[in-house]
Amino acid sequence: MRASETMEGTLDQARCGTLLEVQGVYAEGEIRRRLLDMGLVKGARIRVIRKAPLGDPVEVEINGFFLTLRLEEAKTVKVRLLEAGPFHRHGGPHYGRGRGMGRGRHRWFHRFNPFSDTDHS
Amino acid sequence: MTPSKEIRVALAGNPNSGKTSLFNALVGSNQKVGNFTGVTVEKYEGFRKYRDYKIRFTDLPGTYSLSAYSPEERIARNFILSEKPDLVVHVVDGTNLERNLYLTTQIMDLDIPFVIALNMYDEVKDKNIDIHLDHLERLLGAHIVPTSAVEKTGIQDLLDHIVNYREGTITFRPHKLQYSQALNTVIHDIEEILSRAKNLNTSQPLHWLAIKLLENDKEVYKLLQDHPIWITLNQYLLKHLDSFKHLTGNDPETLLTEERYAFIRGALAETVRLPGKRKQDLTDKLDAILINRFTGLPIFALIMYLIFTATFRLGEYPMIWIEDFFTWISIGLKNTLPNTLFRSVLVDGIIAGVGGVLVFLPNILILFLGISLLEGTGYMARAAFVVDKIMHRVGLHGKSFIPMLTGFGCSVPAFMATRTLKNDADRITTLLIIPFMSCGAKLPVYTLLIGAFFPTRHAGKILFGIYIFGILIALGSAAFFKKTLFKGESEPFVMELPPYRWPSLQSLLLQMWHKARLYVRKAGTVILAASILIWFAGNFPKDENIAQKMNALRTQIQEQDLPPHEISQALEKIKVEEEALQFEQSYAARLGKALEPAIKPLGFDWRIGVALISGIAAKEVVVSTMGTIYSIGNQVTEESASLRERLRNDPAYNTAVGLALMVFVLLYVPCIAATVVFHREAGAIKWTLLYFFYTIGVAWIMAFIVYQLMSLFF
Repeated sequence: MRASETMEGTLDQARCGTLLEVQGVYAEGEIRRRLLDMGLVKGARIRVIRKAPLGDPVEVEINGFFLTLRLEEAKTVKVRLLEAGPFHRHGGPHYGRGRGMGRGRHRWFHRFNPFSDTDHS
Repeated sequence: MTPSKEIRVALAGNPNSGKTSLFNALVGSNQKVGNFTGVTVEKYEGFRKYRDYKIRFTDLPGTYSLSAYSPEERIARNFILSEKPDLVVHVVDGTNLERNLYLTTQIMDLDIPFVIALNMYDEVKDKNIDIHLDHLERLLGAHIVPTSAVEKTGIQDLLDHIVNYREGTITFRPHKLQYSQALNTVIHDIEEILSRAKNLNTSQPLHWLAIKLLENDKEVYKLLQDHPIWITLNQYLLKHLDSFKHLTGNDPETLLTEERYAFIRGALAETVRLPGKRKQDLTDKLDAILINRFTGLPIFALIMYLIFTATFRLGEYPMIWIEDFFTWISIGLKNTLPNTLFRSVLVDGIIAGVGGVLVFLPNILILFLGISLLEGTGYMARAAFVVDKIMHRVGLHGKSFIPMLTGFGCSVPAFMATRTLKNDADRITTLLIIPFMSCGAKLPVYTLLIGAFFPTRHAGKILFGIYIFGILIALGSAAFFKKTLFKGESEPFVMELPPYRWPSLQSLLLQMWHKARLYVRKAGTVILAASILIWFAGNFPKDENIAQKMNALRTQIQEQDLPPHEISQALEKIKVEEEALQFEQSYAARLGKALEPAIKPLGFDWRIGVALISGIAAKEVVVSTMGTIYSIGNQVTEESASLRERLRNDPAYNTAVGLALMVFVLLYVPCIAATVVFHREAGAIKWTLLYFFYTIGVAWIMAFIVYQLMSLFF
């Protein structure tokens, strides 16, 4: 895959600490309504904070609050990468959260490759 | 006071916006809790007298939006639209305007007067967030009153606004929310079509109906589809929606939401100045530990353990006091009143029944203190986040965990704890599987049966096995219900993790008080009636022949020349035997005998049948009933034989029967108190019937399998 393609993906694949921009929600019915209501509209910025201890659901920061959603639901949110990895000094309120132990096994090797499904390609 | 001096106000706002605290600050203890019609969502109402007016507040459920998907949202919007409160007080968390104002835009669409209570204003100040209130008021078309429920500031100002609005001294200007040209055209066209509809029986503003129609709102669709205007409307939609999508590259639903958020961003850019850089606050620091990948689960387990232990260990002491108190009353009455039917119904029916119900009150209070703390501090959402993956396997929500865990103590508080679940499918499923979590009252039954039929070295393993078996049945049932009854009705897990806050003592105490009141009121009515019924079945009819025969035996003994202690011992034995004989021909026993064919395949005889029936009063009664029945025929000679030994020596029973009985007691319908609470929480008779037949059905099938399999080996 070319670099430009790795910059887009779905929210469930995004790694902790990345800053993303929402491109659109591709769910139907209630889930769609919920996600839209919570502010996952085109252009909204989200930062991936962490995954639950068992790997699902995922916690993100959006519009100044913390939102959790299952990977199943996150899969329907199309996003574009704005800033990779935990190293970027965004000045955003939760910079520190992306750091520390246990941010994913491949953190060091793939920090510019934020969507894990591209790891294998 | 004339009725015209009453002002009806509805409080609407996001969850965690401090709406309930504000409600408490407004009305104090002048409040009561009920249910919204037809649903189990709690409705808090209260009043405050202020400047000649009686202001009635209704605390609507916290919502992020006003869509038709969750019961909370439907309640909130239907209340506003059909009850038509004089004024809506929209509670907004001042520290998180961007998300909170989204609900504001939905309220704007309703074209109703509202005042914004800009809550948590103390935190806004602390965080150096600078809000240009005048300008924001102009944009939103509503008056904004800064409030702090915690510090009780702005309350008076808010009350003044409500009264001033009523007296006409303040008015509202139109808001500045304008949708794009494309949307406006469609909205306007639909409004126009709707205005032509004759007798469109709705109290809802056309503008709002048009918007909701474009948002694919289920309820609005249903309303309009039943009306002749639908033909025109549908033609219009078919014709214009495609070109709309083509033109804007988007569907109206998405565009409406996007434009709302765009309006909010614009408004905030003009009116709010955030401090340059946000520091890591308490929430960040706590979350880094509490829901961290490594420590998250252990901490969760520890907190659950603490709540569970506190509920049942700490609750034990007041429970003993309550039991002692009722025993004291019973003994007192037995000693003062003559031995009549009245005494029997009072002591063994009413007092025993109500006492047996009130005894759960300490558990309920402590558990709900714990749950209120978890919810009030914000940890509840984190707990759901941490265990959701496990619960999701069987189709449940992370929040189902707490009710299920509580079920190991007692089903009554466990059923009540399902109120934290917002989705009906999740809530009903959780309610239905809680009976399989082996409750504390079943323990004496297991202890007796394990002691009777298993060697001591296996006791622990068998007991543990029974508990695990219950959990497996519960999880299996959850998966089964989710795949059949509630197919595809899972609540999407899209949940806010609110900032950690310390809940006010007032809110905590009020919540405990409400729960206690709800429960005690039940104890005073339905459960009392049920207790009397069960007492009646066990005590009637009385057989005069037995009484006469026993009286004859009594005289015979008293006439013999025996030492006094032997006489009293002999009399005691006669009393036990008389009770047993009377019981054997009571309605309860007849029912047990009638049931024998049905439970024969499980290896049970009528005596077990009777014990199981009386177990519906309370599970531990299974043991005492067996004690009563098994005194039959074993009297006088076998004086040292305990119930356990009697069971062991009874040729009718063996290990297979013992194990099947344990399985049956584990799974069959919980006690009457729990069943009544279940019915109230589930809210419909069909669920209670399902619960009844499902638990008994599963119990029968499992006991049957266990008995038949075991019979091959023993």
